[in-house]
Amino acid sequence: MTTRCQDIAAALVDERLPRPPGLEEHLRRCVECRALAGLHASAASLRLPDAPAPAPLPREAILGEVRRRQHRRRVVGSVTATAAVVALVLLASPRVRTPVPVDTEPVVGGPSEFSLQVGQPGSSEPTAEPDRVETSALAELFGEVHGYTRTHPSVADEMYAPFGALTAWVRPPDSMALESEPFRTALVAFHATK
Amino acid sequence: MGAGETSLDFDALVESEQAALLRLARRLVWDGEEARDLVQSALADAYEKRHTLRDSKAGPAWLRRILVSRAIGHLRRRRVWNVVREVLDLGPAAQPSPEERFEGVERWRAFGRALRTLPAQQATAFSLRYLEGLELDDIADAMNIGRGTVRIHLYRALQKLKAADALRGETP
Repeated sequence: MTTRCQDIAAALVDERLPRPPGLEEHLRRCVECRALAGLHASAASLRLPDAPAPAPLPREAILGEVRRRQHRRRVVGSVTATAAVVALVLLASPRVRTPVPVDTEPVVGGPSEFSLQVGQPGSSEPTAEPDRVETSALAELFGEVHGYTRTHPSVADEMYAPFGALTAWVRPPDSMALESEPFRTALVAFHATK
Repeated sequence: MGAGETSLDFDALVESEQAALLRLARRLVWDGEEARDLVQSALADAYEKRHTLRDSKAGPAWLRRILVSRAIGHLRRRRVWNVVREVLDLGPAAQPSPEERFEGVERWRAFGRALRTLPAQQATAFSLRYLEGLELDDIADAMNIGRGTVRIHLYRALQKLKAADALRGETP
């Protein structure tokens, strides 16, 4: 389509535009523009048959639609506000880390590799005497761990007797620290020095 | 619709324009029931925005603009739904509306179907221009677009209706 054809097409569709000079001559020569002129004339003469008019809308139908919209907006607004508050609470609350169960508790400040080998059962090699510092550290460690892992202090204590079964519910978790291999090895060494 | 001068004006405006709006909506969507729903939604829109209408003389054009905006959205959704229905093979398209069956003329039915396949803006511009007989300025105002854009929509609509063999160089 040439620029000339575009001008002609615009003038055909929009009758208020000035008719370009030589319009009739162009229509005689250009098949496309002639077809467009025919289509425009055909469309302009369309006369749809009048279908029966729909019943008029009562005032209440319009107001009912307005009320339904207001109700929908209120519901959507309250749901959005609730979701926002929940999201805010979740974001603001401190994160609780789930404790990871550890099979073997690391013994902080425990005996060195050398001292753990001292006095191992069945060891026939001559052993070096552990120094006093290590012995006292082991003694402290033993007392500390023992204190932590007392069995059911609340259950055993008579002060808690009036609370009945509640004491069993609030008892601390059982600790396996004394059962772990490094600690048992350390205990052997500790008892050997006593 | 309530107390006050504005609401009384709104009542009078709705009463005087409702028949024209129903007719226009029927021309735009080719279905009496859909047209009624469309006018109801448009009048509800207008009621909610009635305080923005400053000049009561602009009321009819204002209502028409609201209705045309609603109709364009409706036609877009219907067109998308028809495409989805074809793609998913959900069965035949919508049955001919009462308007398409009105005269029982096969050509009108084909014309209505072809008009439904046009993009919403083109179909609306075509209906307002050739079925409602509006001037291009009024169409531009109703569709909230420029006069040049209306010309482009009309040109493309004519070409597509010709390609669909729904419009020839003669009156159906």
